[in-house]
Amino acid sequence: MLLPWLFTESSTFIVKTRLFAQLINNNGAIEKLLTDITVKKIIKALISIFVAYGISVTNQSLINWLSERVPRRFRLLIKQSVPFWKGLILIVTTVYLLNLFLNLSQNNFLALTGTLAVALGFAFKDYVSSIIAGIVTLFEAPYRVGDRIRIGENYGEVIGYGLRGLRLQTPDDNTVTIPHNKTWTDAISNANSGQLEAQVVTEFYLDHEVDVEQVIRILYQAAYSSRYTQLKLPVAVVMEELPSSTHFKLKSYPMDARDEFVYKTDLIRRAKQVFAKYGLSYPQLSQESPQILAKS
Amino acid sequence: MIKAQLQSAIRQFQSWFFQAKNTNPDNVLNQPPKEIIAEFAQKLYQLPQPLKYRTTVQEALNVAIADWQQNPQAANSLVILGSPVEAIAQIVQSSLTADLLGNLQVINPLTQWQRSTDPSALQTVISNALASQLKSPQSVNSQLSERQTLIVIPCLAQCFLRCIQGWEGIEFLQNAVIQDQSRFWLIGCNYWAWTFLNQVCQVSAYLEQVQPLPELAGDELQEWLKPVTTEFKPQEGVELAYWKSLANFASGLSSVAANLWLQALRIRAADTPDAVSEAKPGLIDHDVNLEVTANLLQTNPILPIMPDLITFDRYLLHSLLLHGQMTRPHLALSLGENEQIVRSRVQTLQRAGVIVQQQEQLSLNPAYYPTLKIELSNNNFSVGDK
Repeated sequence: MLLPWLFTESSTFIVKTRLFAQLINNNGAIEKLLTDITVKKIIKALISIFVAYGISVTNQSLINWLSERVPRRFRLLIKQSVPFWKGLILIVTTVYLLNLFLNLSQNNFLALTGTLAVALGFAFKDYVSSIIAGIVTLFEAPYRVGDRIRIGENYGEVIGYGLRGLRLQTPDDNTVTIPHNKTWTDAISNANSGQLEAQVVTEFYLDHEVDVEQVIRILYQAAYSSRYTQLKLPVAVVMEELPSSTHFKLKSYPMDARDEFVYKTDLIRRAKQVFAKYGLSYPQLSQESPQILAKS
Repeated sequence: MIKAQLQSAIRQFQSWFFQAKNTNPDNVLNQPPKEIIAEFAQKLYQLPQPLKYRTTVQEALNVAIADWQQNPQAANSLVILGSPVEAIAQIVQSSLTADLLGNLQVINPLTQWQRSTDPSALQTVISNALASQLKSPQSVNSQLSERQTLIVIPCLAQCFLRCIQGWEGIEFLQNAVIQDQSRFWLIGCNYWAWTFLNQVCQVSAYLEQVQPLPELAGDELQEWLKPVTTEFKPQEGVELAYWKSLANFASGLSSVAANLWLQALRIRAADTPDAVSEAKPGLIDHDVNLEVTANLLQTNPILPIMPDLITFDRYLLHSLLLHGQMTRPHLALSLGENEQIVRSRVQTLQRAGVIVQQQEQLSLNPAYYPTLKIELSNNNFSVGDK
């Protein structure tokens, strides 16, 4: 049973040893790889890094500023361009710096990538994994800037998309940074996928004895009458029986996913006012109820 | 949609261009005194509704009633649709001439109607009106010869409120229309309310016959405004272009055109009332007004620039356009917001000139309608479309 493991481990070891040996043998190539490092080049490199950083920060601020001022339907479209511009600036700067310090012939390029692969593989495994995941998510787009997503325990709006991770603004106004490589392992739930609207589910628990038809009618009207509701999208009410109560779910869409929580509050407020008017009662919790609730 | 957006962008650009041109220091013109503006506003208010609107309603009603009186399966309702800034109730009422009605018995159940928060109020009013004004209840399968009753609901937007149970009266109304073919219903409604009611209670399934009000062209606007504008003499050769431009900016809406025309009235600095009264101290106020009126200039119309709106303002203005006109407490109820907050925003928008108030009724200043419609549409609001 141990044989496959031994085989795999020893193979990896042999490959790594060969790679190092090749690098040592190729010392001559590496010497040629580096160009003369002069003070002028170092200054140029520093300036280019500084300029790239400045452009990147300015660009992000400008895009954020612009996206909050244009009509709402263009907001996400503009925000979603942030990773593209960041990536472009990064690529251009990296190519410029490599060109400045390295002789990028075909042999040198192979030697360099080999060296980098080994170095990064050992030292920055997770970091590189996050960067690669970031590039992959750019194309797969399981989340984009402006989307409302849930990764693990965290839920909120994607407000930033960096090289290594994304920044999530939670409903409590905390900013959570999550590395992109979570996409390899964790499920990502995206509420709006680039759209302005995201479904909001508002839950109500009422007594078993209530007039169900009346409750459903009130919930529909609560959704249709709310100022936040996107009327072009469907409204639905679903219900289920629980041991302690009848559980109603009102599913509807606000015009702007950002209004999710004020929208939910508005719906609950409207519905509760009418429940009170018609005496629609809530479940009465007895001493046994916590156990029943826990079971349900 | 794209065409409309493009046209709007062109209008905005033209508007900006004309404004830029007018800010030339060599060519600065002042706004006339408020009294003069009020005087012209009053004259505009007293104008009869545009002929094209009335003839459209009359022709549609004539055809629909004739069809209903001859065909047992014909629709027994006609809905006149217009923009929320047009006076649809007045247009509907002014179209009902004696010649058109002939022997028809006309019932106006909502003559004294004020919007109510009680969902059963509309049902009660309509039921009472029908019960008291008809001699005997008419059966569903009544004879064609018995089809002689016309019920007029001049403004459907006044019959509901966006709150829970706020449109139960409309549901009653649509059922009443379907159930009794012996009466014909003429209903006025604005596009925004119609779109909303369609989404919440599928009103168009019950009221199937719809007649939109036409857009007015430049020459039609010129004809309509003639009683007020005769004293102004635009330069030779550019008159038609002026009215065409006004119709373009106003999207063919009479109320918007009237407001834009009024806002484009200017007076030269040297001709302002102070200068006039100083030069001729003997003149009484009335003479001063006459003199000022004579010096007024009819400049190129432009769309007023919308002040910066916060998110809540958009919800507020959307609600206002949905209902056409409404009181402040009803507006607060419709928004589901505290009246105090609504009052403060209404004050701000009123100061900016976006909202106007007549007695207790708030409504949008028609001049802002084209710009606001685009603004709300761009912000994902459901706006009324033809």
